[in-house]
Amino acid sequence: MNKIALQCLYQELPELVNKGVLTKEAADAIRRHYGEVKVPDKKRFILILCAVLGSSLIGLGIILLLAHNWEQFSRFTRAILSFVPLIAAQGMAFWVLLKRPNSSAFKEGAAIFLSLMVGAAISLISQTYHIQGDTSDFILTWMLLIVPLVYLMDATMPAAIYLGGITSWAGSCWYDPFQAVLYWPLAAVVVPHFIWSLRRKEYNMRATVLAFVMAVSVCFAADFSLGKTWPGSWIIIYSSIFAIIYFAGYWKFNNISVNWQRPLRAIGAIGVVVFAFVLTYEGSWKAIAWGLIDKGDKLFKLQTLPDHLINMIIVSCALVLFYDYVKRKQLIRLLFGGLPVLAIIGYSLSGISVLLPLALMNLYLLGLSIYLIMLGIRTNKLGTVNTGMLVLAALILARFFDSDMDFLVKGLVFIVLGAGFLLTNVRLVRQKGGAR
Amino acid sequence: MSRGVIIGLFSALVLAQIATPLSMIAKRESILKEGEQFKFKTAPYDPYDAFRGRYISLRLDEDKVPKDPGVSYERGQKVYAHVAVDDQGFARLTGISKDIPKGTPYIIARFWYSHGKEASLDLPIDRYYMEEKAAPEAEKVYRQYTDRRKKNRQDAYVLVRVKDGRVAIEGFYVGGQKIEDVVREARIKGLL
Repeated sequence: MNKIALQCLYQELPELVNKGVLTKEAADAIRRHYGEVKVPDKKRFILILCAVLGSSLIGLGIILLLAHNWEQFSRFTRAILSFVPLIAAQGMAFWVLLKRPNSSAFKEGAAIFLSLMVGAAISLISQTYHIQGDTSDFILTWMLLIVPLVYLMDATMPAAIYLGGITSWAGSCWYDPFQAVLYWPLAAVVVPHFIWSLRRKEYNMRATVLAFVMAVSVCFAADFSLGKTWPGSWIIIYSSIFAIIYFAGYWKFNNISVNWQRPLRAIGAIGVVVFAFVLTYEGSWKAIAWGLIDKGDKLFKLQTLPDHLINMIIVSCALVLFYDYVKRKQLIRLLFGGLPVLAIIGYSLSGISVLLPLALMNLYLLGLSIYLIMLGIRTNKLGTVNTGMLVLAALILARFFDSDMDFLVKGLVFIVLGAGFLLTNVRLVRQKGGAR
Repeated sequence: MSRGVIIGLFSALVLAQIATPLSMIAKRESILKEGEQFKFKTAPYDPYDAFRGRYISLRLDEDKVPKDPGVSYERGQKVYAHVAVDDQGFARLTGISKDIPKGTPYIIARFWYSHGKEASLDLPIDRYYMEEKAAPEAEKVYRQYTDRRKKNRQDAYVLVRVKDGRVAIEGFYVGGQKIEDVVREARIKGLL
């Protein structure tokens, strides 16, 4: 049950008992049933936030100071200078480990500061010695030197920096996707930390922040590293990734009751809808060979093995999760998470005619939007109805702009859609009012 | 993990974090002390790198390298660029090979693409860092000095040291003078 609602209920209980609506036993039974409401410790949260912001700003400030590249100092002085902030940050982290091993604020703050200072030291030395601009090497070295902090200092922000770093590293290897594929084992390094932070008894921000960064990072990294050897595999890979992110949003986390604490579900659902929308365009099925490194001849070379392997893992995960929900018969989740299945069917049909997968994807979005609208009306949820209507409207508009109909017809369709939105909302708001 | 283990592992990490930049310094210092010196003519311009401050991007004047059309290379492949000095004392890249050339100085580079008998390489001579304000000023000075329309146009070159194929940049020169000194003089004369 929603924490805020539960708090309200608990506030009402004494009065209900006083007025004789509930017996004292019944009130106690309710309390026992729902358990204690854990109000997040705001002071602690603000302290961590301040530590994170403060150390990030100081760290970035020092990087900018160093980037000035003080010409009047000799090469030797500059080399020594680049170590000063690094050693200071290490000293601070060491002190925190010894003296404040239980303070999240101290640990996060010191870990971020140290993470930034490692980058500052390497970049100042690159600057002093005019080391060539191999950005990918620079980022990877930096990231590998900070990732142990995630576990040693039990800190989440270095994990977020690390994920951002290895994503941009994968991006800087664009000319060699066979190297960029290493993103996946590198990203797996922080997964145990993520799982651990999800299983913590008290809910904290770290899981939310990390989930968000992970989802975004994976979406970008997939583009940089996967599907470069098999024509059109990006269609199945992206569908699977969004479906996995969506399904992961439903895993039972501790004490999560509010939607914003579940970024995976939202990112996954938006990803599924937007990607399905992309697949309703003829261009995406015609551009099936997009992003290919080499057409065909590298398909079975040994170096493409990691690409195939990771693709297989991702697609199988999505299918297993889908099957799991088939067994549980949860239609709404199946509708969102079923995109990879449709993508595979569409992909196999695309050889016969491009029209088949196009029809499939259009029908899928049509079905999804109508189901959402019906579900929203049935459960009296305005948000769900409007989401469904938005998808439906986008689909209809997109198809109308595809076609050669004149402005008069297009204009009328706009008006009909707009009126539909208004009428449904007015009706639902009235229904809700009536219910109250 | 027990506290002792954490402290032990953290100490190891601290050492690795210090050793990495130290080894970068040691490598470059050894090239600068023991490497063979070369002058490469350049053509610079000035972008901005958020990570590493301001620098002049260096492009070698003759950055296309002759290549044996019979040998094929893959993009990103490690190659050895052969270096020779012309009669004016400037270094030039005279060819590439997959193996270390014998008796010829060489630079380790990455193959980028080829066009007939010429190859384009990703060379480790690509930037010269300067103070934040000095880089754009240096570019201005550079343009004034090397304007092809002027009669007294002067050469710009980068002075490097090379050891076992690894390169370290010693300085960037315009008209025979270090760019930092040229910028300083131009400031005093009010040319900037």
